[in-house]
Amino acid sequence: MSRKLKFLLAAIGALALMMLGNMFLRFHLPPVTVRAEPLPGLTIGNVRVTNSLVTALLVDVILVVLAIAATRRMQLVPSGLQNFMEFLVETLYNLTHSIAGSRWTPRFFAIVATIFFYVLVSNWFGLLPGLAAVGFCESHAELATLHQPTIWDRISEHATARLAAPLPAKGGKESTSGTHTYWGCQPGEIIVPLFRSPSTDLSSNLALALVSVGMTQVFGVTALGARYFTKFFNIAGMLRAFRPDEGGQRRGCAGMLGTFMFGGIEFFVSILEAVTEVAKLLSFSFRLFGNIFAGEVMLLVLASLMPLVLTLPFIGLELFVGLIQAFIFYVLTLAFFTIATVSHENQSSHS
Amino acid sequence: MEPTTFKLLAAGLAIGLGALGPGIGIGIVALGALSAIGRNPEAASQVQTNMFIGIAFAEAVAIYALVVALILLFVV
Repeated sequence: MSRKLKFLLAAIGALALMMLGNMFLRFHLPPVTVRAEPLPGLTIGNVRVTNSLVTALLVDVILVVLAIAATRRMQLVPSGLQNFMEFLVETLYNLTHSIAGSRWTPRFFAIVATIFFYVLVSNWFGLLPGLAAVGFCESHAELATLHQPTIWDRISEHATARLAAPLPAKGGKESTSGTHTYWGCQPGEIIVPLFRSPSTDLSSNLALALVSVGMTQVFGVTALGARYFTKFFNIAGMLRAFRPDEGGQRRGCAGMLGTFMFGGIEFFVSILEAVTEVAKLLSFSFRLFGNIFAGEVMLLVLASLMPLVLTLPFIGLELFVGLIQAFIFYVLTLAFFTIATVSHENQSSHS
Repeated sequence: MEPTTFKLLAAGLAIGLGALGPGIGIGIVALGALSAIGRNPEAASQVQTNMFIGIAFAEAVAIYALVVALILLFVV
């Protein structure tokens, strides 16, 4: 009986929350922009400061302040914040050690751990409630002029000239402009948020991916020297056809052709390897961007459909997704580092 | 029919069909990892790490589809 009563009370509570949310917290879905918005009146040299850049700096400050606060009064037996941070770093260090081995872990750890914590904090920063509502009021036309022409604009101009279909609003890509007035803004103006998670800005993710892939090459060369690049351009197999075989005999015509063909396959595989290296940039940056951006858009859409009730469980889901994405960025970077430091020839001779 | 209609249709189809394969792939990866953990629970942490790497590779294909859909929606 009491169980039934509890269930009933919970249902009534959920309904009340739904009604309250629908009555007081209704809002119009703000325009969704793929690109980070430049903040008005903020320029460094020729570059407009975007809201994601501001947030990236803020995330850095958060991380630095946390690190300083945790290590200000170091104790041999840690407690409180120092204990917590030591636990985090130690767990991560042990995991790194189990993947990379004891030789490379000290060199890898600083980079991969920085990537993990930075991506984690910036993913979670975007989930702070009310973040999208704090910002400047901007009219559509002004927003369009604020944007610098980028490669995206050139692509879209090119495409629209071909299709002869005019865009509704160039630059901002506001699909749901409408005549809605946002709270605290003049009619026809929209809110440009002051903060935007760096993970939802493709440029910042691309920068992280460049660091990851670039350092992979650095560690590969450190470990293997110039031999590392034979992974991407391997003609050794084809040249082997013109040398005597293992027994010291000269190869016959058929043997030569066969060896040459196998060498050709190895060469093709090495070219594929080089293409994969470039595709890594794409998949790294778009994986993080796609997951976090899609999550935030989903939260916005759900909140505009049914405020308060529908969003709560999904914020939990997005917290989990943010953690997983930070972990995947960390693990993949670490795995690529480790693969790059292993000699290719050794591997093939073992098998 | 307006070009916009086809644009929306194409974006929906791109991500919808593009998510099919990776969905199946991630399912297979998780199946393998879970049965491995079931047989050898001590190796759970190592299996999980490799599972995440495998999932990330399978997911990358869906990300490419998402990129195509986003380009169709917001750029073209």
